[in-house]
Amino acid sequence: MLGLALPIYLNVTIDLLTAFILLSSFVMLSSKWISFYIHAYGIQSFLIFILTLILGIETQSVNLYMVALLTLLVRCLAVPYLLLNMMKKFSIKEEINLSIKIPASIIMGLILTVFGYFLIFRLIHNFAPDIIINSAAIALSLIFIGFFMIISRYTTITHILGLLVIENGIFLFSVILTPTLPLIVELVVLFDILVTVVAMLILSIVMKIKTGSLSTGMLNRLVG
Amino acid sequence: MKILIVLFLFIPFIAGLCSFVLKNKRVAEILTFISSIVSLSISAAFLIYLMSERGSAGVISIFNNAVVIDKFSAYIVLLVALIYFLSSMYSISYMKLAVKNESVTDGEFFRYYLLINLFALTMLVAPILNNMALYLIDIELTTITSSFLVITEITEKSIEAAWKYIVVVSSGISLALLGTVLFYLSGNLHGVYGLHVSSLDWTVLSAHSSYLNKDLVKIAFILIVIGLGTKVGLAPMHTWVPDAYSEAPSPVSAMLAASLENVALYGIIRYFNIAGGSTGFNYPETVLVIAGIFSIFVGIMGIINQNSTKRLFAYSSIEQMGIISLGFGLGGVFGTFGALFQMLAHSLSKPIMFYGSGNLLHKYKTKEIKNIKGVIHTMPKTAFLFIAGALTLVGAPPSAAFIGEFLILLESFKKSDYFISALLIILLIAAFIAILAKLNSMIFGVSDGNATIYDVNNVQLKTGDFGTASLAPMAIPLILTICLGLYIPLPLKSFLDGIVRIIIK
Amino acid sequence: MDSYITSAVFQIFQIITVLAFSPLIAGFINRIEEIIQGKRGPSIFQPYYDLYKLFHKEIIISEDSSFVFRSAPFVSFVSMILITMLIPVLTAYPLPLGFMGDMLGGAFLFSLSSFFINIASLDKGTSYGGLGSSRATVLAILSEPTLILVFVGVALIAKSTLPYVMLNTIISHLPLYFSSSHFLIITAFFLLFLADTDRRPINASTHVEMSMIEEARILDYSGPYLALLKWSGYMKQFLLLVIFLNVLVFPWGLAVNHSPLSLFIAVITLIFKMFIVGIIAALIDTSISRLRFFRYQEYFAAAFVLSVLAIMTFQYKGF
Repeated sequence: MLGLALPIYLNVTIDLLTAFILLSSFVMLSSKWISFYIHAYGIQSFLIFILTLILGIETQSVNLYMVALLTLLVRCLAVPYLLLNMMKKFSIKEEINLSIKIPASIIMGLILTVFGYFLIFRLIHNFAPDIIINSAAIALSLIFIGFFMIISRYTTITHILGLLVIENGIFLFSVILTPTLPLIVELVVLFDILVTVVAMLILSIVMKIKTGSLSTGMLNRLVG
Repeated sequence: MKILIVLFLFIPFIAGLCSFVLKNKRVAEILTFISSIVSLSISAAFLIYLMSERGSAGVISIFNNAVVIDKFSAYIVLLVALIYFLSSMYSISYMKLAVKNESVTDGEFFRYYLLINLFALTMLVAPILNNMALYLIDIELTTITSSFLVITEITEKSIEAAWKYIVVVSSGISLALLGTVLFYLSGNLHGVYGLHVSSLDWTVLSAHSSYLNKDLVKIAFILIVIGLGTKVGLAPMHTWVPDAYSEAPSPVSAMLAASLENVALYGIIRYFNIAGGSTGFNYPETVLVIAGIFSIFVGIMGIINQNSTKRLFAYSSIEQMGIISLGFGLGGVFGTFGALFQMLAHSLSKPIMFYGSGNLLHKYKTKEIKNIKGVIHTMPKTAFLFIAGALTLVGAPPSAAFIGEFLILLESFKKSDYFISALLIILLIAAFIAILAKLNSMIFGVSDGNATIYDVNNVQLKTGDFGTASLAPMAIPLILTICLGLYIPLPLKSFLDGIVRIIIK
Repeated sequence: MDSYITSAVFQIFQIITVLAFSPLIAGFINRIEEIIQGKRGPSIFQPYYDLYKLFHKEIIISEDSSFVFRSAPFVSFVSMILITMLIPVLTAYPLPLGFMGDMLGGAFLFSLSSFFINIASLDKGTSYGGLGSSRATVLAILSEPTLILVFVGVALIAKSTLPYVMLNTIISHLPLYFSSSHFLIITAFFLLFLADTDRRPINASTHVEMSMIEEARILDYSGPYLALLKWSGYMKQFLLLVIFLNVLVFPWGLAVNHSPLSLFIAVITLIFKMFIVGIIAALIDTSISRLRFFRYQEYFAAAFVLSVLAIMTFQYKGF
């Protein structure tokens, strides 16, 4: 998208889509129920899919079409399906263990967003128009919020989702700033997401069988 | 050469698959061992080819530059293959004992042999990939395979270690991926420098590094150091290191400590080269020096307060990686050469320690230092190799580690960074004392040679070592490292010089 | 001069509209809620009957009460009428006295009315009055920052805090209407609307003393005073809806010239829009449950986040 003069209606659309993507991560931060969390992730991925598709149509790039399609398949369908399926199979207790209460984590997310804007502005305002600063800042705040989710929640599934939000942020970042990124990279990243999620799911199943819970709060035996 | 590389990629894969499918313990052991020998000889072949006249271009590149092997990659591949070889040999003894002690079931045994081959494969592939993003993804795959190796024995502790490992490192790798995207962006800004570098290949970026946007490269390099530093185990991203290393089976700990860290550090140094070409070497060097010093400090603090053998050596790895990045950070011919040589030295010494701890674990059924006493009486050969290995690890002459650390120190003197030299000397002495004091109580902890020694379950221990497969993997690197401490062969020296020229141009 | 007189007439007509239709909207929302809950519900003209009945009752005032208690209904009622003059109820252009204050001025008047009701309910020293006013104050403390931020967002978009300017800005520049910050401001304001008009998830206007907020504050009033307070409550809801609809959500359908026909159309569209939002508000009110008092902050934190995000995203919008 960098170096591309977009018509104004597309600017408005991208603006809206990125804002809703950011909003969906706040929905995740403010929710106490895992299934809600997973659905919010699915919606976020779907919005990213639409954004990629729009950019693909605008630039007539087959690469972006492929990437959009794969995003739809992997991020939006496969991963939430896997997670929800596992929750059903292992009848996982729905509530998330929080170490930081919801209002505080929302405010924290807000601070991280502002920090993302600040950082991106310092980094790319020399050569990027405002719309890109906006979208890239939102992508960066997704990454920060993903990290925050990992450290503030004590459940394996939320760790996985935190990582996925980080990946979403990086993907958004690369689509916005470097749409010419080679297709092979995006393909491999998607493959990697799938493999990582499956691996982490297997690990959490093993954990569930061994310790009887998915809470990572009890993982405190190894110190020193 | 092409056929060799393809073979190189397929042998461990096939070996792993066969050992998993055939369900025969003997076959699994032998296949893995043969596969490791083949990998080692092929990587030696790369080395020899690159040293020879025909490989005077200094690179082997195939598949339209997707796979490029220069001297640096060949060196790392050799180190990885070496540890793969040693670990597959040691696995024979370790897993046999583990099955005998009923801490590992048959299913876990075959899964172990599948995964250790895949783990070796992913590590062997990483240095020869030319594309940064593919390299990172490959690093991510090493995380996944090795995290399942960590839970070879499924206990609550090992699950915890594996979970920490996979979460911390995956998020680190995602940061490195962000850094890579920024690197790509930095060369891809239209109209800023007129010319743009639209590539993720290390060869291309390294050749055109002066066209990259400097501000972006600075941020990107920091992200790379944080991201890959998580994998290397640089402090403060080291939190998973002691857990994973101590809970993994000993052969895997050795592979994690001695080869995986090198593979990840290889990535940092590749980026270091590009960032240096773009912003000048002052900036990336400073970053590495700070990360290095801090890691040495954290590693030694961990060593001093340690109760468990394997965690002790995990912290020692953090410290060693700190020394190596400090060497690269100090730069210059001596510093870089020293760091490269220290990589080799660390890869030779660290397996000895982990294999030794594995032997102790099987004998004493514990990792607690205070419960292990009088090893010299129960396992004399292991004890000898163990203490000699420890001496080479902490850098007592004659050992490769001594040469490496000395060269790094020399570089700091040469650059008149006396503060760093003083700090490094103090920290090295602290590490020396701390490690040897801990080992002393373990090896010689019983004053009377005729006293009976008990393991943690109060069972009287019989005197005797475990056999060749448990001792040879310790003896081979020990001999190598002492020989290298006495004499560096000329081809190796010129080869390392070639790598130094690649890194600091 | 002629147009000035028309404008003045229009302003008076605007006030009459608000006075006349505010009970209707309240009755309509009540009716819809009851229907959604599966009951028949009262007539939508029930608020009119209530007001009529209350105006014909006698006033009982405690001897201990001061002038504050007696003046609060009037202050509240007059504030609402003043606010009516400031905002575009029927016309897209400012009417006489429309520049007396901007949106912040309107907010001050709302606060003034609330403040007087608060001290009036404290005046008598009864326990329920104190309970209600303390709760209302906590709510105000929580919601005020968000309200200010919403105004900041509006001011950023319109480069002015006058509601008329905002309305005309988003009509004339459609990309601004579709910008993310505009939508976020709408959502934040809607959350505040739900809180300010005493709806779930903040409060169910029950007659259970444990949970009541708004009811507790006017528990001691009777007769015409109570009628005035109730009426100003209806007007408050109506005015907030007017700001929400005519300034933020759907600024079309207002009178753009001085003809009586356009005024008539404006009234019809306004009532129609309000019915739609009323149905939505009733749906929300019946479908979600009340939050515990100590979780109100989460709700307001959400609104706060939305308004901050609106401001953030507006800074670097691409048009």
